[in-house]
Amino acid sequence: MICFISVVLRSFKNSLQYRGAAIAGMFTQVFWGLIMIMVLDAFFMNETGTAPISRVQSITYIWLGQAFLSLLPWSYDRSIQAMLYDGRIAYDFIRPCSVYWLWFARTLGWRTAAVTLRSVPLVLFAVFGMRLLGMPELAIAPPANAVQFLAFTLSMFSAAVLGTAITMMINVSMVWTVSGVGTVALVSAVVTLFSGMVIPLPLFPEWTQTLITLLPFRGLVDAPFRLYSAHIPAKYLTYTLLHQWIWIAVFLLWGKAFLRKGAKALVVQGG
Amino acid sequence: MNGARLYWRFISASVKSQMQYRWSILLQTIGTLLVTAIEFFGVYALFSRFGSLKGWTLPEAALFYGFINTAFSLADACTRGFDTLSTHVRMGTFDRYLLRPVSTGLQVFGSEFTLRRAGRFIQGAGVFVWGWLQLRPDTAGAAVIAFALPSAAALFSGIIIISGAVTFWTVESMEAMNILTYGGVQTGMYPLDVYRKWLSCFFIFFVPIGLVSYFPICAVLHRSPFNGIPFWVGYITPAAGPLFFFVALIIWRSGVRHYSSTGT
Repeated sequence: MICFISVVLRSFKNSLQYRGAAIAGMFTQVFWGLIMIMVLDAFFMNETGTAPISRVQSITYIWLGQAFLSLLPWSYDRSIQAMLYDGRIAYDFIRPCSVYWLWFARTLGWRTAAVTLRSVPLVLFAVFGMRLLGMPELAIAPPANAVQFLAFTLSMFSAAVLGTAITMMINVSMVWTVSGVGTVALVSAVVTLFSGMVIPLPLFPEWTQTLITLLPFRGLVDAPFRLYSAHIPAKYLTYTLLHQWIWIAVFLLWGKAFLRKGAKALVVQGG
Repeated sequence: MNGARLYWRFISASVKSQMQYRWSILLQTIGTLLVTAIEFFGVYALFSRFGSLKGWTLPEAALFYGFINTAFSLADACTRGFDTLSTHVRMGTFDRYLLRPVSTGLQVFGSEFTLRRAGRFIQGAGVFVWGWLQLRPDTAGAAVIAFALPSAAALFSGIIIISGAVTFWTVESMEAMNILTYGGVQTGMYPLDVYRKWLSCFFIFFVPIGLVSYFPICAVLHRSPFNGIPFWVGYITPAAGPLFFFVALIIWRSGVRHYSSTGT
């Protein structure tokens, strides 16, 4: 456990060094967010109150999506890929702790670091920048109330764990494929759509709602964000957390079994 | 050997080398096809929820969406060399281009024709054709598209050339330039009049993506692009594409003159 925590912290600290890249990335994200928000805003213009989510809630949803973008499992741990290429991966297998948890800790560390670097300035921009630029109607709304905010925080932590557990599936798959590019392309397509990053999930057609409620991906984006704006009342928090943690358990067990199989098939590239 | 023939040679060599990995290309194409198809699912979902967008219908939106993706994928396939230019500048390997008796622009253009961009192209063209068949515009409309599509591709190529040329000064490639390329595509997926004024002005007067996509498609649909502007303006505005491309080439030349080798 101590090993796990220290790996998380070290990986977190290492990734915090890439501040420049994070700020450059932030510009693009602000732009993305703005475009999506303006489109949604235009859609809401001749809406008569029948939409399943309000205009302000949708705008807040998009901003939060940009702020917590780096939590999404649509990339893999580059250090694992590099180690698979040159054979250093063998060291990870002789360490006195579980390989799965070692990688899990590293991934959790860099994901949370990336989110920490990006989310704070992005939310600040969504609050103050939008007002300074004369678009207060497109700014992010504050959390509905303290209780909802607490519920949001709790489910956001679970979202970070869930995102890491799904990333681990991609990481482990590289034991076979070495290059994670193809897997990531397919996984990210599914994740983006069904987490709510393309458009807020409540706006999806009715016939898809049952499916997206069951899938694990709404636990990454949709559920916490709707708790934030009280679209899901805090009293349903238990259901949200239950949904997230059942899927976390599934991905943990699946990923571990997957890695056990992979370790047998693993070829260490010598050199 | 003249430029066009030489370019053709470069491209066929590039295609041949990529075909060595045909499975990888095929899988990546399917991957991109899926990713971009998901984007359009978002557009579809919004229209099915709200009915219309400022008076635009789904087939009309499909024209904008399909057009911009088709044009961008064409430009993106041709200009891969400019994307990876920063490596050459950093390593000093750009010297090689300077030693050969052909213009640097032609060589960088010829360095790769990226087949895996076909995913976005197929998806964009598919959506466009679907919208077209729903609306059945007149032959004048078809002529505008025949003019506007290469113009839009030229415009996007121009943007990518400029972001490549910038690396002669900055060495690092600039992520902010993505706002102009991918951001431009993202913006162009919806009709320009749904955005705030400053954003549409930016994409009309500064980086004229609106002139090569929004205006001509308005002309196809016989709809005024903005209050007080007649629809036929869109018959002329795609000329901005080749013009922008020309300006980009001038910037490229001055960038090449500014290049000094790292000498490694």
